Amino acid sequence: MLPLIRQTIAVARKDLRSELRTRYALNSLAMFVVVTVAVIAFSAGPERMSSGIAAALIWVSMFFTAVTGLGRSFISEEERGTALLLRLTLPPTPVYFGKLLVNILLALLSNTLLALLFLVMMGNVEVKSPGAFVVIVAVSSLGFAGALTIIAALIARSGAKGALYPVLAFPVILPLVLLGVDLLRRAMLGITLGNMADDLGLLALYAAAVMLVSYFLFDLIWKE
Amino acid sequence: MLKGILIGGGITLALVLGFLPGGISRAKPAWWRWLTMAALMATVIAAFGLPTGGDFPSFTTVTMSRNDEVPQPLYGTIVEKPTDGMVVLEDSRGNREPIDVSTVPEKLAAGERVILSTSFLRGERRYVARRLVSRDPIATLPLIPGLEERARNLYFHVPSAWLSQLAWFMAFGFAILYLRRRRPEDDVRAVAAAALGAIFCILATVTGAVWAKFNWGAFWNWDPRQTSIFLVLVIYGAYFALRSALPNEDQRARVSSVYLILLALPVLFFIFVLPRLVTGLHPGAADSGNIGPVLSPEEDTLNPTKQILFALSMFSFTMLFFWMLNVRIRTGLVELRRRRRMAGSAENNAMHENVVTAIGSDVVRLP
Amino acid sequence: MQFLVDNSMYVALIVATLIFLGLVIYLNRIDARVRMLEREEAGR
Repeated sequence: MLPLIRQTIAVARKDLRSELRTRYALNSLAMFVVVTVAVIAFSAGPERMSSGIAAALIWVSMFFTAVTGLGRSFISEEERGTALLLRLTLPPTPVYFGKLLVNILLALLSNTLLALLFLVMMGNVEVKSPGAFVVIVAVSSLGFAGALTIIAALIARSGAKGALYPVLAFPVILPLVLLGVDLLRRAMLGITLGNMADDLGLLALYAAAVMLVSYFLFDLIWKE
Repeated sequence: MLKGILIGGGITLALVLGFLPGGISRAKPAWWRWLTMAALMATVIAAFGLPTGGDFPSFTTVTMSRNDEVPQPLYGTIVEKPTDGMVVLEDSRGNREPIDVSTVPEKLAAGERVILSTSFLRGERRYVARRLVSRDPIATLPLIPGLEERARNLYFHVPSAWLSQLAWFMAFGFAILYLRRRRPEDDVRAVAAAALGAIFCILATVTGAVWAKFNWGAFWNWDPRQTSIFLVLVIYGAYFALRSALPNEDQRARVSSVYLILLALPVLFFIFVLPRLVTGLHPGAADSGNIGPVLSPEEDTLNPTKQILFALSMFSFTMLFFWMLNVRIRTGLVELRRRRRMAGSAENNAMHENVVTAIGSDVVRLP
Repeated sequence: MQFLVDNSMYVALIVATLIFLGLVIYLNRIDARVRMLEREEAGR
């Protein structure tokens, strides 16, 4: 057990370190978030936005941010030729969880940044249940990371990588979107966490199920 | 109770017959194919050919809700014929009413069972028959308020939806089998099931949309059930998109099987969770008191003719599904064996072309 | 015209019957062709 945890952290640290070295992924992710919110802010202008629409826009942005930013984990390994090394030195479990951890971190960071920027730049949108809002964004980020990590692994060695990613991601992420938009809207309207518990529970359950199933499936595609 | 046995029995029989003589992947004997053809044609002929005729209560409900005097079919036995232009009709529940048949050209006699297309004149408070629809019919379908003749869609729409789900679960099973045994035959089966699932999904969406147009006013209504069957179609699309991006056979089979299993999560979500969470128009949604004609124990859905016909339609469409699956799988297996034997000489490629043109490229070209 | 409206269900019946009959005949044809191919293989 312990060596697995250590290996997982090692994989995560390796990925994070190489990211921090070039900062390519982090920068482009951050810029993507900023640009997205800016476009929305300028397009909407002073228009009043219902909480339903605001929640929907936040989710649209989160989806495309995730699909753009979270997919690189396995493709970069293939591109740099280090995939074989990983396969030889480590069992699949820490590889999967290491990359999952990195994606969770990236998702949390980018979604938090997105939500904050959105609320700051869209003056007339307000969140009446900030606690619930934060929890929902956090759980959603987990869901995004869980779904996207396995899909990234799936297409790492396929032909049309770029175009295929959102197509494959969409069905798996859609339940998150359906639940999440509604939850976010309710959080903005001021409904408390307690009243949203069952739907939030479903969201968390789905995210957990995706991560669990992904873990079992990863083994099957990682090895040759 | 009987309804459940009848419908459940029909489905079970079809499932058993689908697997049993030889399995899914071996040719079906002639009697099997003839049974399927006969059942299917019987279903189609009965679904369109049996006339609709209601009793007085349903007639009244339909006429009241339509708020017009457009004639609706009444089914009953003529118990009296006091004058040439009048009959007294008794329906299946024992209600008797006099009906003016003076404008109906045919001569009617007491003792006949008839379906009369009748208007109820509100002002004069009397029934006037416009047309004799049927005389001593073999069987009749009930008049369902709100659906009337469109109720026939039931025998096509529900089996399509059921089969698109069955196909999904079969594809899922084959994907798991493939990942366990790593036999390319299992992948052939998975793709065949998925392709059929997509076809029946399209049929279910289209028959549903047509029904929606007539009953809910628009082809598309964002009803959760309607949306989710469309999403299942999108899911099939993603699966085939992934397959087409992987040229290497082994990789294609492996990666798409894994993806299919992952897709089980959203599929289960759309089929089971979504329609019950959100309110909607489709029977069985969260707030509708009506759990749908198949599951409900209500009066009008217990009509025996309807039950039998519905059971028959589920049976024959399921058999049709297994036949189509059977043909697709066998085609794929022939292709597979051919590809294995021949390692790509020019002569072999020419023969391959002949195979393709002989069978019809739409069947052979598996994604 | 009124005849068609009155008996529209029978028109639908004929159309549907033809469609399904066509489908079933087509399926039978393909099935027969595949069976022929399978027999060829077995005979080889």
